[in-house]
Amino acid sequence: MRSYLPPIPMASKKYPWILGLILSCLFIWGIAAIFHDSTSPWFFDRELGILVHPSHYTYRHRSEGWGMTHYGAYGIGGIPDAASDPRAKILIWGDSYVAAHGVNDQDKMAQQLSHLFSRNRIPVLAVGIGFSGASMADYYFRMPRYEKLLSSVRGHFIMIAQPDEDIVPDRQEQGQSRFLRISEPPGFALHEAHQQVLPQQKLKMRLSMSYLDFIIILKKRVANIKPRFAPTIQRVSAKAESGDHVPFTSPADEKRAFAFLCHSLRSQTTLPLTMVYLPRIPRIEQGKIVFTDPFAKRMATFARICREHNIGFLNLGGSFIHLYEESGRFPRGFANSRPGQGHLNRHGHGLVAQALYEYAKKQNLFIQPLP
Amino acid sequence: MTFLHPEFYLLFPLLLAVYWLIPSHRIRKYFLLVCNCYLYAWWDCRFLFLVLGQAGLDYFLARTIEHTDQHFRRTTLLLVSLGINLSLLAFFKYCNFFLQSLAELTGDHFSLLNIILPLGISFYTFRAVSYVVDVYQKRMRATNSLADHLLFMTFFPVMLAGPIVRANHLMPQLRHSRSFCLDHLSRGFALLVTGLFQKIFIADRLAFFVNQVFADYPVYASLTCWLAILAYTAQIFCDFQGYSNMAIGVSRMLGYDIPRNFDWPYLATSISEFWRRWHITLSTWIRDYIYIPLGGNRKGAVRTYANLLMAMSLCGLWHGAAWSFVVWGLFHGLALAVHRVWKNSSTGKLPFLPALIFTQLTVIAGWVLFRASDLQQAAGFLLRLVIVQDGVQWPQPFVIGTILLGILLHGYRLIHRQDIPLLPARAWYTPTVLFCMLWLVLVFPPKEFAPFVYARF
Repeated sequence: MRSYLPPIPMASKKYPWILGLILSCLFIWGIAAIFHDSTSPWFFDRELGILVHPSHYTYRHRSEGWGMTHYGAYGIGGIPDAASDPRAKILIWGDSYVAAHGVNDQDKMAQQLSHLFSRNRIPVLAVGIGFSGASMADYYFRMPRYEKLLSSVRGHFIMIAQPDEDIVPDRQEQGQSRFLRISEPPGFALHEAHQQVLPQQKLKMRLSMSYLDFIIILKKRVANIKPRFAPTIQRVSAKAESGDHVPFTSPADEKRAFAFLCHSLRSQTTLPLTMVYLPRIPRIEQGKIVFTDPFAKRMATFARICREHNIGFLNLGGSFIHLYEESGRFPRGFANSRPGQGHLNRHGHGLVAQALYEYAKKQNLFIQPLP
Repeated sequence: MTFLHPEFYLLFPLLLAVYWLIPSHRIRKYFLLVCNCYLYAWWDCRFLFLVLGQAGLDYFLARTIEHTDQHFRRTTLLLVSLGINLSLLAFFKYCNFFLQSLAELTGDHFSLLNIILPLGISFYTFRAVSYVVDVYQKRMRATNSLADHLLFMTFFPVMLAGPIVRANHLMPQLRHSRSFCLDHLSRGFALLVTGLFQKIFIADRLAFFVNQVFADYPVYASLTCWLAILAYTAQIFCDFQGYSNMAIGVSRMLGYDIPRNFDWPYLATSISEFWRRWHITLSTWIRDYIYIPLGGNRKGAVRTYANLLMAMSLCGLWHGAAWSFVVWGLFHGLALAVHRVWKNSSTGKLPFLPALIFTQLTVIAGWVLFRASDLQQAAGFLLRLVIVQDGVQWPQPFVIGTILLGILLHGYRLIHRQDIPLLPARAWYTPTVLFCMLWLVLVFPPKEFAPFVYARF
């Protein structure tokens, strides 16, 4: 059998190796600047009393979609200073679906909605306030603060993209405020922001501005390695548990949690409040395009309870299906992730903006067009 | 422990340093044997005893075969060795497959056994078989040293997924002292990094796309299905050649030479040439220990074709305990038989490009069988490739880029005839390319790590 080794030995002088190391560092710096996600530094905002992304910070997202988010004041993406804008405002609340890092600023739902308003000569600015992992409890605590800060707020839209997480108690991530059920009756727990994190966030920010974010991510990855050196014994893997986690013990329990949620949110503002449901349809599942929403029943209950508390409810399922039937496009997913799954893409954001615009017009929620 | 575990990269430099600091070749071998055992036991210490037991038994059987002149006794001993090795393989790998097939055939219900497949069993069984058969056929002498034999059987770089290094290749190297060589170390490092890059940066990323499309192929457009099967063609090559490169590189750093396993298989212009370029150590093993003992091409045309079909079906079954693998093997056997008929007829030879395209389309059709979870999926996927159908389009940029790059590299190879186009041995920029690949692996890991495709065999 032939040897794999080439007849000529590889150069073993040390200079090419030193040069190689230096040049490769420059290479990865350049490549990471284009193809790697940014890190997300958080700064304590004294006026809001919460942690937000710093203003003038640009976030690059490459792992799902291809977008740049330019942060303005108060952690608001795509608007340099929403507070100083004289227009009336509507606030769009949400988690990563509203932060929408996978699309560019001009394609985010808030910006597309603002564009629709300005095209129709309606002086309203849509402001998207989205933080990855944020929950209803965060909106509950933040709504009055932003209302106070951004003058002339006329209404709120809250995006619900994951019904198994967004409106269900005890499912939120660490580091965020939480919607609790463990306590009886249910309640909200405020995640208190601390200013002590500031020095390390400053370094994170500096590295990010120099396109060196990959160092932080690499460090985190290395720190997460938990090496095992002891020999072990393999076990036959047990069958995975059923994925259908039932978060509620009974329908009454579910209703009680929803009623608490709606009542609490309603009590935080006197302005029009609307829940916007972004169902996971159409989606690809087991070789089929699925148009049925597995959370339809839960969301019907939630919608009814919303209305009982004078909260609007908007379901975008129909628009999403229509988009697919008309163009074969999915509202979710990107070419570099997976079609029909994940966060909203440009088309999805456009649909949301269109639906919000029409809903606002129909309900006469905001101000009339200029003459 | 495999080349994908971070523990390996924490331990290997230490292992290498201690290994080369040991002055005595004999002690160095014992140290390597202990390391082999530890690295295997790290995965599951129980199976280490199985491997050592099997190796020890083969050592004594081979020695006895060598010292016996009686043909009947030699044959009996050979059969005992083959019986034990192949029975263990059959039990661990095929027991549930046979039970399931029997249940489907008879309509009865059998409860399957909870069996854990010992890591690398297919590979070390073939190594063991080749050793005993070679001793029986007097192609090599049985080794006197139990330590050498255990070292050969547990040699960790090739333990998990080959190359299927034969005793007559490795044993002589074990006997002679290995000397430290910086060039070998750097060359080994180059191969290790190249393999890591192929596996983690390319194959695992492609795997994500391929898995999604195969799982939901009925909704995807034919063009996307074509992209998926081309991606799989690249994935399996990068996955397996990546592993082979790592194995060869690590062996080289330890001072051992391991035969190459691939020689640009996607440049083959006939199916028989493909098998001379793809998984070379397996195809030569199948030729030497199955095809030729069956009679090869010495017993007439019909028998030759039957032998080809038989050898390739067994090759398919070796790959995995599923009917789709058997059909894949049969498909290749049939293709080899058809190629032989074509070659023997007076029709002549196809020009290079049509021959290349036709061969590679055959290989790609085979990969559908290989990748599909069952025959039904394979048939459905093949239909989608052949009959143009509309559906969801998914032009994944990384996949398209990788396929185009693959075509470019193959074109480069055709013109320049260099093994690794980016890594010429004496070029000043070779270390730069290596470090760049290493950075890409570290900074851009895939969404999910997939185990080596061939490791499950």
